[in-house]
Amino acid sequence: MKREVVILVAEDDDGHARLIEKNLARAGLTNPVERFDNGQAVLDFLFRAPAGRQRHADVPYLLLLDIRMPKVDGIEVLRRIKQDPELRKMPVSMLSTADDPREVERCHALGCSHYLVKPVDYVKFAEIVRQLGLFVTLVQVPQINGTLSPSHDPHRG
Amino acid sequence: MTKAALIARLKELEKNSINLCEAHQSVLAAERNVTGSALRDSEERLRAIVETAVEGIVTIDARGIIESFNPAAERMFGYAAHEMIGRNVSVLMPSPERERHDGFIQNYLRTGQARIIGIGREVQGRRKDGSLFPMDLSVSEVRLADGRMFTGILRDITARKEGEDRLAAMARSLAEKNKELETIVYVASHDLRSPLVNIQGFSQELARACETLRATLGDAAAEGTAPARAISEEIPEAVHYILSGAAKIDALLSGLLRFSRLGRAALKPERLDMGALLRSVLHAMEFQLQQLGARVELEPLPDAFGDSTQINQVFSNLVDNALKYRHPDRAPVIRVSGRTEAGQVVFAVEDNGLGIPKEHQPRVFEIFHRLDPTATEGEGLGLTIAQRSLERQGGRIWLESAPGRGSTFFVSLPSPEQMAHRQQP
Repeated sequence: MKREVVILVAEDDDGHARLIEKNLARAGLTNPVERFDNGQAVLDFLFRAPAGRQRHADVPYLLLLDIRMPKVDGIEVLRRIKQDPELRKMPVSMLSTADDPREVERCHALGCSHYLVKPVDYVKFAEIVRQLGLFVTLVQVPQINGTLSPSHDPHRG
Repeated sequence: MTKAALIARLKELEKNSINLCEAHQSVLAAERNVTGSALRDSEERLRAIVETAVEGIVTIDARGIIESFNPAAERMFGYAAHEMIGRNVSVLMPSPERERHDGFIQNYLRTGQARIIGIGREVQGRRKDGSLFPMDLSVSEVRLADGRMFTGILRDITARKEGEDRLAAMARSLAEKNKELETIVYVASHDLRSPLVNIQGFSQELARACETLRATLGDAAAEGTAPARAISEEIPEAVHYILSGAAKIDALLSGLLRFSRLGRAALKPERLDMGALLRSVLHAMEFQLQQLGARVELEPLPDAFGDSTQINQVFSNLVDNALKYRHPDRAPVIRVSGRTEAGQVVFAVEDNGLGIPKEHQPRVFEIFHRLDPTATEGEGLGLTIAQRSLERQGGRIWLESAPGRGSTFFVSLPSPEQMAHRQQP
């Protein structure tokens, strides 16, 4: 059975998180959204820390990841995700308030799918999320059936 | 001849001969006196030079034993000459040179490999009271018939070193301040933009909500009641000002960030074919130039030495400014020329535009300064960035302008030849 993509939003600013949700909904993306307000919380979820929420094995996720966050910042979260053989397939789109070329380069080198600068153009934003959602659905389904080579990673050359 | 007569004769002869000898010797002595006084004279001169020299002059023999010690050296070290003559020169050095000096001399005498002789260097001197001071020391070797002698000329450089230390400390603190400033700008532009996202995002939400309300109210909104006016005029107007204010802060912050990045960007200076660089600048602006009916005269340009990307940006900016501040009554004419001047290359971008009044001229390079914020777009950063970028590359930017007639911006850069000289001293 095809599961709906869950959009994870790691964002410490409540306003930003709310704007993301509203704009996704307005663009017709009705996927469930799970919000985390710091980097550690989203890592706990993804790496299945004993307490609190945990990710499910058969649910496809995509992550919208803010860079400047308390406890663990977005770049560190991205680094740990991309080091994990299973999690690294999950699309991650970075959200940042500045388009510092060094930061952009660093995130791309670590394997992020997109780098979006806030204040975002929400039309473009929704389009990117839609594409990532589509992508994650395509990748995730064969993976559940065990036909996808585990080394396959479309984000690396 | 009797024996007595013979004796008398001999005596006479002896006497004469003595006289002769005496005469001869007095002549010789007179001669010697002349040379002697000349010798004494030149010796006195040399001694006077040594005695009055500002530099300390110390001579040692091949074993390192001090043979002479001039007054300047006495003042420097606090020893009297008579205390030092006959002692090993290593007394004047701190450890570990003090213990190793005899070895140095022996090594030099054996191998001829000089560490300091004929070279000179900065070393530490040790005063009689044990305190140390920095000095420049040069040592020359004198070969004599009966051996060798070394002359050391010393200059106390305490004051110069203190100056250097102060300069270095100042440079360090400036570098720290600069770094601090960059961090502040970086953090500010990141963190200040965060609330801005909310201001912009929720203003748009407000505008949308307002739109929904107006649509729902329908005809009632057209009736001109107070709530209807609020929804159709007052709230949208307020939202408009909030959004344009936020957009302006946003533009200023990204400008600040861009400026701070410039200080960190790595430069790749190389020989630049300025003719080709300008042609590519003009090519990129072709559409804009055509639209305004602008004419560009590009003269042959000398090569320069700089970072191609940043210099391209500088000239794009100057041409862009020439178009932006064109005169309303005539088509823009831009002339780009260049010349070599005292090892530097100087380029001129001349326009026939509005010109800049004298009192505004010094301010055009200030950050966020704009001549006419209502008439033109931009953040007021172009010339600030150009100036900073050129200064980092050993260049300069300045202008001459006559209001109503036009402006000429000059850009100087190192010439490739000058850089080649610097790299092979």
